[in-house]
Amino acid sequence: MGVSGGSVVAVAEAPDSRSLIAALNYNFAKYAHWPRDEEQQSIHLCFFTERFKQSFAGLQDKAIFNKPVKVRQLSQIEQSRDCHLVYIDRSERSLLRRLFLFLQDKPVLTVSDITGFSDEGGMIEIFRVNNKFRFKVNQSRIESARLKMSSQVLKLAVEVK
Amino acid sequence: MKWIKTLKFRLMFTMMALVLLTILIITMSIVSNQRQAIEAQARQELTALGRLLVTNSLSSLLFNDEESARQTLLSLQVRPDINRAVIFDENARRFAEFQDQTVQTQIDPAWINTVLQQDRPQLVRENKAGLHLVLPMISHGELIGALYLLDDRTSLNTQMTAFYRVVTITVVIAFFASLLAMLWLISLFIMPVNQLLETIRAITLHKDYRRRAPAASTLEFNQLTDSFNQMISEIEHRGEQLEQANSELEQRVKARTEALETALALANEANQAKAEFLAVMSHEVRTPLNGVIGFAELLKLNQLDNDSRETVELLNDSAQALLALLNQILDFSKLDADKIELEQQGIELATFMRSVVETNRAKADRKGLAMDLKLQDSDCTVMGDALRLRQILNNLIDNAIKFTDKGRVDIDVFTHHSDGEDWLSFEVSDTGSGISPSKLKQIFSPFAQADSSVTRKYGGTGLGLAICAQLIKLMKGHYGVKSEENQGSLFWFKLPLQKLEAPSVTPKPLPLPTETTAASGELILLAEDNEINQSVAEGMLRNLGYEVEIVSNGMEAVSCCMQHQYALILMDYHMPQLGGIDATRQIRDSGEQGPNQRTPIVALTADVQRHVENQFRHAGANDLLIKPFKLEQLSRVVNQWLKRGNDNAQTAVPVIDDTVLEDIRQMSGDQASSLIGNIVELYLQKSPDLIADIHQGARQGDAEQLFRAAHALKSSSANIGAVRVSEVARQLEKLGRENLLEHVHPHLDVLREQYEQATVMLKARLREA
Repeated sequence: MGVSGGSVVAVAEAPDSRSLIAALNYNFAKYAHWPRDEEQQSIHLCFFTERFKQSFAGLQDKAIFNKPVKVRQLSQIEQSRDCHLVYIDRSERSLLRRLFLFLQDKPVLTVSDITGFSDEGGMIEIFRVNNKFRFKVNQSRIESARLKMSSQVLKLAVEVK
Repeated sequence: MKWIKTLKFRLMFTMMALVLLTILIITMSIVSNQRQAIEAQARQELTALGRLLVTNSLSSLLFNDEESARQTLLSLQVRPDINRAVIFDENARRFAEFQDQTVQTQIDPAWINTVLQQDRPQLVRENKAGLHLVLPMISHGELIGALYLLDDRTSLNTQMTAFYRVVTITVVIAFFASLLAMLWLISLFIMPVNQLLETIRAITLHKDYRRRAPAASTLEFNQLTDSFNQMISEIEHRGEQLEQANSELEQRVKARTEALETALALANEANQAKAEFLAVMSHEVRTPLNGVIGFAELLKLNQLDNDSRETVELLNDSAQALLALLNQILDFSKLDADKIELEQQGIELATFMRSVVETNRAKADRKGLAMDLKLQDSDCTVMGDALRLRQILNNLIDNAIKFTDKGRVDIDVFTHHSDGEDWLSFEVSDTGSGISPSKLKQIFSPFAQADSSVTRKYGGTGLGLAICAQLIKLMKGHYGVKSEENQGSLFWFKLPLQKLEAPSVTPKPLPLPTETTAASGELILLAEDNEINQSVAEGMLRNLGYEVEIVSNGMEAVSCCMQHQYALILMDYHMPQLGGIDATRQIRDSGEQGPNQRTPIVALTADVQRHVENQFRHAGANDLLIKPFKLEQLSRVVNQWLKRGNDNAQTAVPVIDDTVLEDIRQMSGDQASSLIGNIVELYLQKSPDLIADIHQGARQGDAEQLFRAAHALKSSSANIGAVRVSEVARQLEKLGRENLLEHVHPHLDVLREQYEQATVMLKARLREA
């Protein structure tokens, strides 16, 4: 399940790429369903790296099904408990194993641009093809976390397993 | 174009127009309604499809997956009417597109921008290409793009076409169905009406009122035919009644007519009897009168002492008065019974008037009255009854003389024009006693004289003016009187002027009283049954110098005429065995060998009725003498027919009237002789040219030339006193004016003869001078 950092194209370095990634996360959240959705007051989108802070900030107070979007930067893995979606960029690759362990039975959608992320236990893996973002979906992992992804997203996925 | 007026056509036309109008209105409303519904549905469907597409392609746009979006749009291939579909991103950039290759359309970028910028729920546009729909693509309140769809309305049009077809077929079926219904309906109306019409036509054509119209199946028409049949039977009934009434009426009319005819026949018989009575009375009374007058006339011829002569004169006057009275009463009764018939003959007015006045002059002279005739513009021949006109004038003139003691009696004749007609007016004015206004009114009524004292003083029946008035009325004329007491009276009358163009048979002028000198002793036959009359006539004829043979009936007259030739025959009307008319006819019919075939026959009758004279003239009599007659009248008639009168008349007018020349001589004083010589020489110089002109005009048919020359000759001859030449010239002038050249030749001979006599005498006068 290891994904070598050297093989990753440093696409995340450019600031507009980061906002595109943030937008992708927002779009995934639109098509995701969490258990006991109706009880939630807001949708929490979380990330770790300082570099994405500005990109995610643009999503603050947008709405998904009339619920306001809240953005949080995490410093501890345990902080991901209240998140609906956690994005880990490739610079936090070291946190993966502990994060997976922590979120094993929690309904939190995990997204990353780390290569092989979906194979290692991540739910949605973003990658670039022909200068365009594409993604893979680990459907079994999503189902086991009692989450649901809309077929609208699944049909766009390059790979679903 | 007659069929346009038929009920059938009009009903049909009106009803079909109504049906068509109804169908049209319904069809139009259905079609427009349906079209709207279909269009609304198409719009709805397109919008629903768009919504679905938006939902399905929203994620593709979100995740920037063009391929996926295109796949989604490709699914539209199954919809042939969706011509084009395009997904635009939020920057109006084309993201994905589907297009039917066969159609090229332009998308107006304004529509897309409108939707992207104004956040409209949808935008629908329609144009020739079809129905355009632009839908915004919204993800969780965020506008991320737009979807454009074009519906070319193929299916809509197909649907509409199918609908139209159905509607058209329905309309055609409905039209023909209503046409059939209408034909049936019309036959319902027309059939019974036509049957009724046919019946009426048959009735009118054959006048057969027994025909009836057949019953119709429709209740109302049945009532109509029933009413019609009732009416016809009523007419039939009335016709029978009318016929019956007519035949009754005819019978009655026939009966009445017969009664009337009987009455008329009776009346006619009575009238005939009256007329017969009149004729007989007239004859019976005249015959003894004839005797009285005749013998009185004969007595006068004897040498008598003064007392006896006076007695005879008185006897004669009384008899004459009685005759006049009798004539007036007869005239009046005939006028009253409309028995007078007027004759129409030409009257040469000037000659006629002169003779009338001359007849009365003696009476005026006896009373010492001046009498003048003024003829104004009256040198013409008029149509009229000379006898009756003379009677009227004689009466008026006689009255004027009778009631005038001193002064004069004037007679004026003139023509004038009034009330759109030409009139010939006669006026007789006197300076006598006049008539008081109170009497003036009834002066023309019978038996009215100015005063009963007048009757005593002047005598007369009082019928004269009444007869005149009736005669004038009979001639369609008017009459009147103006009078002032002690100043005089003016009686006038006017008659419609009828000028005669052709020269008339000039009535023979009354010659001056003939001398009772002995004639050549020619033999005259007198047929007369009355012995007194025989004696009177014989006495008179012998007195005139004729030999007389007397027979007393027509048979004897005829047989005498077969044996001897007579110079003249006097034939009475009423005679035993054979009447005068039949005797005259037999003498005239005796053929060429009859010795008296051309002998003049003068009828004698006391019957003044016109038809007697006509019958006589028809039988061949030449003249008629009314009994009783005076010696003078008998002499005139006999002499006229024995060619004596003409000679007398001619000698009465001198060739040269010396008084004319004498007048000139007196007027011109000392130079008279040379003046007269000059005048006569001038006349003798110029007149041959004029006579030559007259002959030339007659030869060449130039009436104008003849007229001018004759006119000149007439005046110049009159100026020197050549009165006979002047008279002949006057006659020629008249013929020339009236363009009657065919009559001039006898006058030309007379002119030559008279002119030669005149020149001889004038040359003699010249030598004397």
